[in-house]
Amino acid sequence: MISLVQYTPLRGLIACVVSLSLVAAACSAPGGDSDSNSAQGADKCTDSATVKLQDSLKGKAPQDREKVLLEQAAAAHGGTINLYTEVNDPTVITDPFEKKYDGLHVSVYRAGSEQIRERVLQESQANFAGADIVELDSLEMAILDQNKLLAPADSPFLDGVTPSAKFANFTGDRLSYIVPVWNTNAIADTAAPQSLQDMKDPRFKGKLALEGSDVFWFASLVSYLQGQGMTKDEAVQLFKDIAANSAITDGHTTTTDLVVAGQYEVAANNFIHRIRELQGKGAPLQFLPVKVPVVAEVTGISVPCASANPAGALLLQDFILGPEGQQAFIDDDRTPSNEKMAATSFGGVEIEPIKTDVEAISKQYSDWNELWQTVVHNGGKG
Amino acid sequence: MTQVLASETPETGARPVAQARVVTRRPVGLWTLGALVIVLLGYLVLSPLVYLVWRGLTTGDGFGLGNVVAAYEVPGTSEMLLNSFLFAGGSALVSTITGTALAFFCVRSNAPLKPLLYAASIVPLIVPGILYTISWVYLIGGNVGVIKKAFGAFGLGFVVPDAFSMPGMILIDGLHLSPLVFLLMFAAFKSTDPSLEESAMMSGASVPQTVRRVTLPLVRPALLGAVLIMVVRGLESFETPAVLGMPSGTWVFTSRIYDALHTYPIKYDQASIYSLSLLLITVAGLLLVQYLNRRSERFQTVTGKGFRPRPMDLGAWRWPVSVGFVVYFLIAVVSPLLILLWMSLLPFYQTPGIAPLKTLTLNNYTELFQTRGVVESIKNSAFLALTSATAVMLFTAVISWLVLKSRFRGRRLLELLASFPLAMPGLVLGVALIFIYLRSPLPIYGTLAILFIAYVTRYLPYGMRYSGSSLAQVGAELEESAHMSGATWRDTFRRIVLPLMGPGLVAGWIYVVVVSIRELSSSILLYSQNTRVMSVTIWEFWQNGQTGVLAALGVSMVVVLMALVAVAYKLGAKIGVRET
Repeated sequence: MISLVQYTPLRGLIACVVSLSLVAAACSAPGGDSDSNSAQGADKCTDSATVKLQDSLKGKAPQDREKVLLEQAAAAHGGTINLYTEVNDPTVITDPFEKKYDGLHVSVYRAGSEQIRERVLQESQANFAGADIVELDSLEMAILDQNKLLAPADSPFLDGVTPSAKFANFTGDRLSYIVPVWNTNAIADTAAPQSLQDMKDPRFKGKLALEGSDVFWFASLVSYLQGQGMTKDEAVQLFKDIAANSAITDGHTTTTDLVVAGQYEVAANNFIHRIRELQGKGAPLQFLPVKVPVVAEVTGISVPCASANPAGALLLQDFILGPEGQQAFIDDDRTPSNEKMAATSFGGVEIEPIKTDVEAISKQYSDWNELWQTVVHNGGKG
Repeated sequence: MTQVLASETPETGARPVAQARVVTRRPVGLWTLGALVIVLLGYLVLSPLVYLVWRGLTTGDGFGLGNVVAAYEVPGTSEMLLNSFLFAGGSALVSTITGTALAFFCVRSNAPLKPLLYAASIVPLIVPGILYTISWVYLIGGNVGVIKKAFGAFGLGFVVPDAFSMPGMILIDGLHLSPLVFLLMFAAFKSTDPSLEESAMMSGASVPQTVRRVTLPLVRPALLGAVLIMVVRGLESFETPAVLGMPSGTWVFTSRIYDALHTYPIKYDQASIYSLSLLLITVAGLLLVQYLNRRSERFQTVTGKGFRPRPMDLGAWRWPVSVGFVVYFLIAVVSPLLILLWMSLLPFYQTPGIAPLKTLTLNNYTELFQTRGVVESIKNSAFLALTSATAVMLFTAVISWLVLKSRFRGRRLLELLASFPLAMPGLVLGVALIFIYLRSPLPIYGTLAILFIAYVTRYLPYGMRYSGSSLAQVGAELEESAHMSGATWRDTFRRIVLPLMGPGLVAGWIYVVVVSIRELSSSILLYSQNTRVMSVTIWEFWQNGQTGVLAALGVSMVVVLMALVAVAYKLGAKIGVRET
């Protein structure tokens, strides 16, 4: 009798749990292996509150625009603006913003660019309005743009932005220059890499670090080298040779830190702002003179069409692209996207980055990434 | 048949009134309990699992095995498989040997300096994985390691493995995970009746003979469980392969999963296939362990007879053993902590020496407590750790009882279910939970609840090991006597079973608290604006290159958590879990 009591309902129960879980896990189909779901994106922007608001603001003087935005922002969601950003210390922006606009509050989700991109895609697929405004790497931003999630770029401060940082549906708000760095206790400035090709020289064997997630840097340089007369295969082979000389590291800041510590003498791809920050603390680092083509990574800002507080988002965007936000970046050792203000950010040293087609690279992101993986997997093997 | 369930032997009841109640209530009570546990457990474990299978087996053309083939056709797969097993096996070996030896000498011997042993066993657990790994880079990293350089000065550099190599990775991961084995085995040794060892020694066996032929066989279920957990944990471990493996081109399962999740379009299919592979390996291992432990009553030594764990006299071995553990303490605990302390006092890392002393500063500590959000993240972590540890231990105590002591049909299934999350990499669990709760009508996404669900799911298998191995050694006679005296199931469970499982439950609770505070791979995907946790703060400090501040946080964490562990240890002593 006992076995009967236990047996049948148990089977039923298990079936019940399994089906419950099935429902929970799959009430909306995952849909194959990719998340590029551009078809559904189109509806997000047509008739969205963000686009309507932008239309209603057209032709307004900056002060009127600010006034309207402030009023509406304070009324939506208790004045809270959800910002998804990859900047290390968001308070450099949010503090002066909240001080200027009393009654508004910026709620920050800080994460890496890839993670933000993925979060925004996931949330949009589930029709969850998470981010009011996003700030992330332009390559990842371009992916959001391909999914048609972003409202057109719109701000009274667009004119001041350097041309390479202007895009249809997002705008560069700051730039990160990527250069090689070396430990001055380990090698003399004259022994530092004299060119990209120089980094495959045997003298760097085991002493060189290569940051392993830098698809954009790789793609930009390969495209640049092609423009200089190399074939694509030759350019990729050059990176494979450099990788064979190198230890592959994860994370730009970590890589620079390991050079400071002396684990590596040279690292191929580092952010100038990080180097300058460490130099400021007395670390034995140098990146000048720059003998290698410099890639400038553009970090972009944009308001998603599905923003739940579009007025607050546009107000914050204006603030960041305007003189106060751009100056805040300079004070934080960053390079702003405002052309005139950027010139002052390296203490007088002029660095001319190579031209990069962000949209072209982002469209072939998957191919570039696979190519980069073959380079990275060559790491430490030479 | 010592495991016969009370309800099935009504004729043994002494009091007719109680008996009538027992007969009508217990099967229903048991069934309700079992059903409740199955529903909860099934929901927690199966929902992400179903998602994984779905993702793994769906291709553009519907269901199929195409993704499996694709995932294993990636160049370098055979090498990756070999690396994974080498790494997992190696680190399991290191952690099992050190953890078991530490636990044995801590519980069963009269070795001096026992508090030191206890500290030695716990501290590596407290230091976050990333930080422990980094500190070892500065200890034995090829060009920068202090220990490596010191040995190199005497021409002995080859003795110390390079951090960025397979032996280095195995050593570092093994040492970091040995506390887990320690806690598991600590509970097991506590509940083993020492009279058997005493008899062996009285009959003329030496200490090593006794250990080999009596002590170890007695704790075999716990030991096998520990080895299984360590191997799977090694396969699933992320920090060490990411920080040390990738630079040297040593790829394993988790770095491949990380890779698959860090590209666009994200290769969820590939990540799922690798995760499912890990899952299959775990299930195979689990079935093997179940088979080896099939006669669990052979290991029951806590019976109705009074017993009290007593230390074993090591005799001449007393001092050599202690010296060995002081050396271990210096290597596994003191040196990484010293390096952390050193890092926390410098504006940027410099090799220890006289010159950098001039740059010593407390700035990192000030910066740590001035950084906004740090305090909130500590609060969130503390709340989550305490609630999830309590939930996990209570839940697994019930599951273990159902699995080991009841005749509930489907108890094997329960054990299997509760062990599944062991093999589910945190990153993948995070992905699954986001997918599910973004579409759930319940407001769980973006709150602490989603993190709680993740932690409880992730740490169920560990809870199972702790409660399971302590319960396996409790004989059924005690419960039978309670039942004969008219106690209800609930009374018996509360007054007999739980107290007997005490040492295991406390050890498990401590472990889950600590690992929840450290948990990164799911948290990193699941936190939101207001639910940032401490491990995410740590990760961000690391990503932002604030290693000094990070080290300062590490040092503070060790100090605070050591104090907490000490309190828990004392409390344990008070409620009779620990022998004083």
